[in-house]
Amino acid sequence: MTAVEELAFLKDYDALSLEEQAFVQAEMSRAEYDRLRALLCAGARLDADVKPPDALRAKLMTAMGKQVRPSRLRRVAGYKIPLWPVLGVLCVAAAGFWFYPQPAQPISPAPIEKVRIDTVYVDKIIWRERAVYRTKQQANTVQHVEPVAFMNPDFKKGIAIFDSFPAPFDLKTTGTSLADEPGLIDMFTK
Amino acid sequence: MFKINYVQLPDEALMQRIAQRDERAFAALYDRYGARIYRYFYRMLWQDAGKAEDFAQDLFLKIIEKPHLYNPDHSFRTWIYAVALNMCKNEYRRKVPALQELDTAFPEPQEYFIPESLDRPLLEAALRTAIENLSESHRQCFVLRYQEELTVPEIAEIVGCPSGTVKSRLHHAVRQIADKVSFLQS
Repeated sequence: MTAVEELAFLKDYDALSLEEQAFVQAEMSRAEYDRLRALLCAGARLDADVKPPDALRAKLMTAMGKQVRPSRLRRVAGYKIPLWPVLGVLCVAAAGFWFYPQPAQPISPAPIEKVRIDTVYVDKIIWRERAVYRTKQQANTVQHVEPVAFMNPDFKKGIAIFDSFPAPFDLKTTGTSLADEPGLIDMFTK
Repeated sequence: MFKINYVQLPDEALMQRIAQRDERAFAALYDRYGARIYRYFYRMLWQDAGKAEDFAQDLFLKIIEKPHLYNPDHSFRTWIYAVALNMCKNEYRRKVPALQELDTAFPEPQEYFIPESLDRPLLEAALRTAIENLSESHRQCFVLRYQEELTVPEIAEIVGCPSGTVKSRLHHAVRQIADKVSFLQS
């Protein structure tokens, strides 16, 4: 329960609830309550109009102005960064990087290198000596051949992927007679 | 669009900006607390306007020069009053020998002039004397609660004792004052 002094400081007697009035009546009469309230209110008003001189504000503002303002870099560096949230984020990121399943890379065959040997015979004819000096010159050319096929990484799962769609209908490519294909006859006659 | 409204910023945010030497933040804080702190010193230091000004200036200079002394985990209002209270205590300690000498030379009158009718200036004068005659701990609690209008938990934090003790001190302070002023009101 609130003390009577608190009630007297905050509320007029008529503003009290019935319960509060009963509480007050148990402690003191209404006249005493009114006197107490007048006393506390007078106490609150005491020296209420006392104000600091304007010169005090001016002095303090001058003192504040003399303080060296730190550089922008120092102000940024001075910000307190909470350590635990930063460590938590780093741990979560590391765990995610470690445990995240890497996407299957297609297995490509090793690049094929073909070595071609070019042999050139250079003849040097010296007519005075009636002789031909032949020198053999060989050059190795390494040819890189791009892989033409890739192993499908989902091959183990039994999925076959074709590079091209199968023909929409089965054409007889061999042994077809023009007589059996009137469309072809038309094409040729046109 | 990005202009900061300092009037609406809480005390703690203003203190953070003061630590970054933001003059407008200090101006806003002074406008909020300057008069209250000055009045508090005036009430606690024997209505001495000169002392109140010196002490208020010292307190706000502390805020300017050492803003890091404030712990933002606590309420700024209780912090500033706690600092002010400690400054008053130091002044009491410094003053006590001189006051004791005065007391022996001029014993404090226990009876007041009884007027014919209730007069507000007389009531205020008697009230002021009655408040001054309270013990230090009772006066602290009375001024903080009924003049500075702080809550009991805030006073408990400032004074550094349980809320129950503050309530008890308030009760006794009001009783003592009422007893001394009752002749005016009767």
